[in-house]
Amino acid sequence: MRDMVALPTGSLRRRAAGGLALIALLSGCATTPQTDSVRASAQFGHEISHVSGVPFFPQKAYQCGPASLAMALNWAGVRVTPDQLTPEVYLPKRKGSLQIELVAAARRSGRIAYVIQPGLPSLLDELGAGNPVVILENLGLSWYPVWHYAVAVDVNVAADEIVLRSGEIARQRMPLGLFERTWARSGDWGLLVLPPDRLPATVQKGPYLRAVAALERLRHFREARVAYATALRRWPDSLVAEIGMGNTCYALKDFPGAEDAYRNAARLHPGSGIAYNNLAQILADEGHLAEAAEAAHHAITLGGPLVATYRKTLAEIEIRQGVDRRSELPLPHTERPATPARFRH
Amino acid sequence: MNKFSLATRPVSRFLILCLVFMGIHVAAARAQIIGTETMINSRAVTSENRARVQAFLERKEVRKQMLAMGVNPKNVSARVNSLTNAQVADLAGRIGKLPAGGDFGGVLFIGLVVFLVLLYTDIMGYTDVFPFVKKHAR
Repeated sequence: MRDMVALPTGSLRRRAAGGLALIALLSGCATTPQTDSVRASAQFGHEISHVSGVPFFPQKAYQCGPASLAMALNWAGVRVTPDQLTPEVYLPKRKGSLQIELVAAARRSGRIAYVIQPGLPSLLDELGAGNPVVILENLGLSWYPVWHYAVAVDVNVAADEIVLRSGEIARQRMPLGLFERTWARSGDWGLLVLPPDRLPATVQKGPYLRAVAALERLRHFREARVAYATALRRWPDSLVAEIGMGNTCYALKDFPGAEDAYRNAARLHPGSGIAYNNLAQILADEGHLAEAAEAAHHAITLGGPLVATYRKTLAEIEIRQGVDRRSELPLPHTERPATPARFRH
Repeated sequence: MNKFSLATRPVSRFLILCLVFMGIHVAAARAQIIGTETMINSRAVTSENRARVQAFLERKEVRKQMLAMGVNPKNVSARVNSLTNAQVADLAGRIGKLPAGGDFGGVLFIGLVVFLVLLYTDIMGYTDVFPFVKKHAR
């Protein structure tokens, strides 16, 4: 929370004036290249955007992290309050929340947490697509940081303003140039919190799939499966998305779905040992041991850093094959013309 | 009593053996599916085991730091476990240094010089610390 403070007067002002040159030096660069270029090219981009459906939670002291995250999560369909998020993200001794923990907390709620590419153009594209962006600003200076989270919701380039849900202000209107400076000090950090069927407007394949894979660690397999399906519509030949699809199906005990995905992966990426290894495992689980062993052998032939795991897969399949062979023998009602002879010598 | 224990000893031995074999059997039936996160990281990893050990140690370190930062012990595990290995590596040793967004609790604590600098930079539109400084859209 920020308090009102009386302005200094008299000699203090004169002293302040004396230090202006130094101050100008300390405050760093004054230019706003991104704002200038966005203004110049405004007719091509989203010059006026309005993101709807973002509720406002006024923050309590030091709680801009939980408040901003709660706004983004509610927009993404998760009913949660800042107070519920505080024990999940707040660091009492730092009197604040770390970016990484906001990301992790969004994922704990089963949502895709995606950090956008730095720069005003990405931010404007996301707002234009109707996605609110949690941003980290340094409201102070590099040597006296005042870190602050807020949620960008609206922008109007012609009017030179961006609108943030910030602190205790539901619609903080900020000049673009000032925003650019405060935002640049965090390295233009912006976070999207999306439902799993919605791709970021500025999506990049690698970071997106990493964001989805992180949901698996948190056992949000349903959400991850939807997100992999969304990813496969955008990148039908993505090996990671296909394997992820198989893995989430497997975790959800959807064995036919998993087999389909692994087969697709192996067909489109015949050099991937992981595709063959996982295919071998699902085939073994479905009882197709001969085909499973073949796939595992193939994975070992392909090699790679995970070859030790492929060998383990094969070993287990061979154990099961051995068990199956032994269990077939003593069954009294099966036809076994060759067995007695084979066992006599 | 003694008789009873004599009689039960072979039974308990048998049970122990059963449990041991069951354990082996369960271990052997464990799936060897390669996880998506492992797959994503496998290109950068030379040794799976080394990476696993490193991740384990870093997680321990992050847990310790979070406790030192005043996080309630009953929340620490959930918070550490929900981090990916890459995030844990980012955090380990840096929890005290990374930006912690939290605004700040009242400008009265700022030294006078800092206050004047920030007031000036606020007026000039470089910073946005004080709400009472009017910002004009240019």
